Amino acid sequence: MSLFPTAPTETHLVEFNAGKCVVEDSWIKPDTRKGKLYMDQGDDQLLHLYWKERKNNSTPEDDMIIFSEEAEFTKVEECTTGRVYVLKFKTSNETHFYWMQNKNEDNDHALVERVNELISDPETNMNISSELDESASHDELMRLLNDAESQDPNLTPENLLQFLNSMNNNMGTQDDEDDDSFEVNTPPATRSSAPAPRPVAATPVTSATPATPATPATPAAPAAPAAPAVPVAETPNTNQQQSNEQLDQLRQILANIQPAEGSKPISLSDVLTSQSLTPLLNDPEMCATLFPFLPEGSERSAEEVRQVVRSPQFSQALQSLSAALATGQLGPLLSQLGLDPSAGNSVESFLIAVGEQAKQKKNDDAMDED
Amino acid sequence: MAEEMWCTIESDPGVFTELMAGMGCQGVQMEEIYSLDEATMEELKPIYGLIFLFKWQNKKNGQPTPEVDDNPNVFFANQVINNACATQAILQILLNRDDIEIGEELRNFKEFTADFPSDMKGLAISNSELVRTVHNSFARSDPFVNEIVDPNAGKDQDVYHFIAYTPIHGALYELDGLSRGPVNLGACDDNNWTNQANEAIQRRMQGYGDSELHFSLMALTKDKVESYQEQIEELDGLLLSLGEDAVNERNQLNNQRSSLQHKLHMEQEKRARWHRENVLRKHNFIPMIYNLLKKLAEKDQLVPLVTKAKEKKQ
Repeated sequence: MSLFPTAPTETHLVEFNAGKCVVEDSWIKPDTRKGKLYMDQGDDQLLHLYWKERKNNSTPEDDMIIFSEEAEFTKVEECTTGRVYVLKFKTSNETHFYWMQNKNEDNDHALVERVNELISDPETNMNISSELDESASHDELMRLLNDAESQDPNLTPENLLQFLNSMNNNMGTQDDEDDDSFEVNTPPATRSSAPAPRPVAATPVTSATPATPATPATPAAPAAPAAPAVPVAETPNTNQQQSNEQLDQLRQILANIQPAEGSKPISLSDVLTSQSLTPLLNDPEMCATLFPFLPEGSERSAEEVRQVVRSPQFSQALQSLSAALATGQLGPLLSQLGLDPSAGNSVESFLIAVGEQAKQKKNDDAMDED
Repeated sequence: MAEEMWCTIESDPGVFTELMAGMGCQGVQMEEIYSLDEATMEELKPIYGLIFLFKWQNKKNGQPTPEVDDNPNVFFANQVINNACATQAILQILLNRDDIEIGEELRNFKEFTADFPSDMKGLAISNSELVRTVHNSFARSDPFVNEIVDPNAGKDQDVYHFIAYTPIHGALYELDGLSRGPVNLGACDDNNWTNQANEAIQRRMQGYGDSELHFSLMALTKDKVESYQEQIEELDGLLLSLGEDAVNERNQLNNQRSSLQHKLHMEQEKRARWHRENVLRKHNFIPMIYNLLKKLAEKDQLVPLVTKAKEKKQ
């Protein structure tokens, strides 16, 4: 189930609108058809790169298996007016050229990076993506919303709100809005192996579609509980101001949905591990600085410091303090330590505050020395 | 309201031993035991009481509710505070014996509450500043933290349930603060009442069926260090009184003395360990923790550690 009526229903490891290029003699010419380049794990468990036409029910025209680090997806610098990229196989010198069809070229870099990420380590990335944990989806949803204005009219706050509102009912019906038609003034003409830049006639105008269309359906789940709370207008209002308000509302709601199910907060024991402490405490001078904090009657020795830190009572103290920090009520304690009390609403923010404090002190000390 | 003022404390013999001393008792200790067989019991004598503790999983005991014996000579208090359950069970034993030095404050308390009904007795315990402060001193670290969070609370909804067994005036009593009153398990002998207690405990365990019952047994005994020291002194006295020609006897006594010396040494080591654990339990670790974090931050290690920790959690 997709978030947007117009967006495709499948989800891929990476996908973006791109056209193919055709190599004719030593010229590279664009195939003007609207297409989509995407990567997925195939049934053979391998990483595939597909290209297909962006028509309904189209099947991939190109299907390439890419093994780990076998290929690279890079920008063709010679083409100065187009956004042309080449997929080059290291083993066979096979090359495939594509031109970006997304209206917004801001995402090109991220997309290309993602492609290369997938190629360099398919296994990790395929597994990570397939989990679709809520926090990643939540982030994506937020990103989508934040990018919303710069993107296609298809992706509108009304759409989003409508969808959320209709979670328990049938999908709102919205007319399929076609991509804006695009024109190619002149195809980008590049010589495939020419070292010197070739003049390029014009840049193809890309169609307008979101760079990363429909996030997987699962994020709708954490978002859904918010749906009843959203005061959604039943009929989408084309008034820009109202849609901005709705967008803000939605942002607020989603920002408040803590992706708690997906990501667990860290505790102090995750940071003060024996791994992190051992090198620190192997230094006798470091241990000596901690003598004042040893229990009364303890021997003032480096070994004692190590033993105390290894004790179950110390671990319990870490747990208690972590739990207390998570309740957000330790403001007074933080003040006592010279930290901003508002940093006491999670272990993470507490640690960040401690880090900042140390940095500040370093700076102050450095300034004093001048 | 009173509930909040009592922290959870660890069910540990070292904690309980120091708890009793803190309330003014002398010459007693708690010992964790793994068997109620005769050999174990013999070794531990004199035993003043037994405590059976288990996780109360709100399962019904399959047995019929035993009858209550409202014997006015038995000190019985209803449990009012959940977190005080261990301390309460210990008091149930201490306040029912006349052969333990419980100290002036507890003596006064016993006198003061002697005629109270059991629920009032329970309330009196919860209001006792002495008992509460000593109890709470074993809860951890920082007062700020203790006020806010009890790391054990809510983590598992099971509660620990403590039941005390002790002979009172020739009868074995089961003292369960969650019951209406004390239960008389029958006449017993001061020397072998632990067998009867053993049977009663077995019956109880059977009543809970197959459900995983996490339980412990503890014995409230005479302080072993004192006990061994006294025995050694006795032997020394005997040895002195021996004639020069009583070689065999002398050897025998010397062997016994060595063995006792060894036990004394072990016990002293254990008490030192317990004491250290208690010191650590009572220690406020926040300054230490804060300074460790600061040091890591000064070495630019803190931020990467946080990042790594977050990644692991995903």
